[in-house]
Amino acid sequence: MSERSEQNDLARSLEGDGEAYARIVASYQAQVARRMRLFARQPAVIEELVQEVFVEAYYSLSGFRAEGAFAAWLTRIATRVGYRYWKKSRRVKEVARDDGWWRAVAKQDVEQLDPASAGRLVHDLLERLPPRDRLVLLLVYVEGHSVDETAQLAGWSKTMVKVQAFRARRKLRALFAELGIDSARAAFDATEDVTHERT
Amino acid sequence: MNELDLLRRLGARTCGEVEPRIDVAARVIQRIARRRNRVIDPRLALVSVCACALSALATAGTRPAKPANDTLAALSEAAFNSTGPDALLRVLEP
Repeated sequence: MSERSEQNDLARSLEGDGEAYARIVASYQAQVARRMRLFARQPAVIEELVQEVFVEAYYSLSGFRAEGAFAAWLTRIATRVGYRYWKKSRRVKEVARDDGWWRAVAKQDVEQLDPASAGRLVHDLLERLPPRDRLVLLLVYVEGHSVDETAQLAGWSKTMVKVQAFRARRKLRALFAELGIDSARAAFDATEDVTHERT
Repeated sequence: MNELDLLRRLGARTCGEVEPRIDVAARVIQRIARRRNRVIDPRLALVSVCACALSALATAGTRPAKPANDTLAALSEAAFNSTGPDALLRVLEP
């Protein structure tokens, strides 16, 4: 969709033209779905969240400034919808010391993981932390956003992002220790070093 | 490798994940339409409030004024006087 036709569709959507908004949804739904997959893995939930993002975006359209990028604006809405979903579902997985999945990961090289497994892994890991920690880790480390960008996406102040990132890192470290990943990885890295030395 | 490096590397790996295939356009439009129907038109709400206020004013304006001494005791006394011995004598007076 060209920028002009997008602007045109956005203006018509504001006037209540459903077809114009359907075109906007069609052109951005894959991008939004990809983002929502960071918040949920079940296809039905992802679909529900994507719908929620577009419904919310529709009712906030009057607040969208045409000079900004629509995709970035939509990403902000999607992030907040995802975060709200996390807060609502309040599912914090119990840490299981004998978690076979994690032990398997610890023995694998991340680069060898297929993208879907890596995605599941990120999700599985973040699910064990409270929503606020999940969000900051997701935005800063998984997606690699700066403090400024994270603040904008989450709707937090920069100070809050820094404080939250610090706390989340500490919790993540504790979680890794509980899962026994540190030692397992260290063992893995040591084996790797020895193998490299040999070759 | 520390926990943050692992997260970063996992994040980089997820970039290659296959895009989810969904088509929600029709359902989004349906949801918007449903929500729109549920929302009360603000103009209609204003008209309803005005109608209620006018009706209250009209009721207050047409309400009969009560006598100041319209108490239960005064009513009871009036009833007794109208059927008491004095009233009977007044009737029997030539």
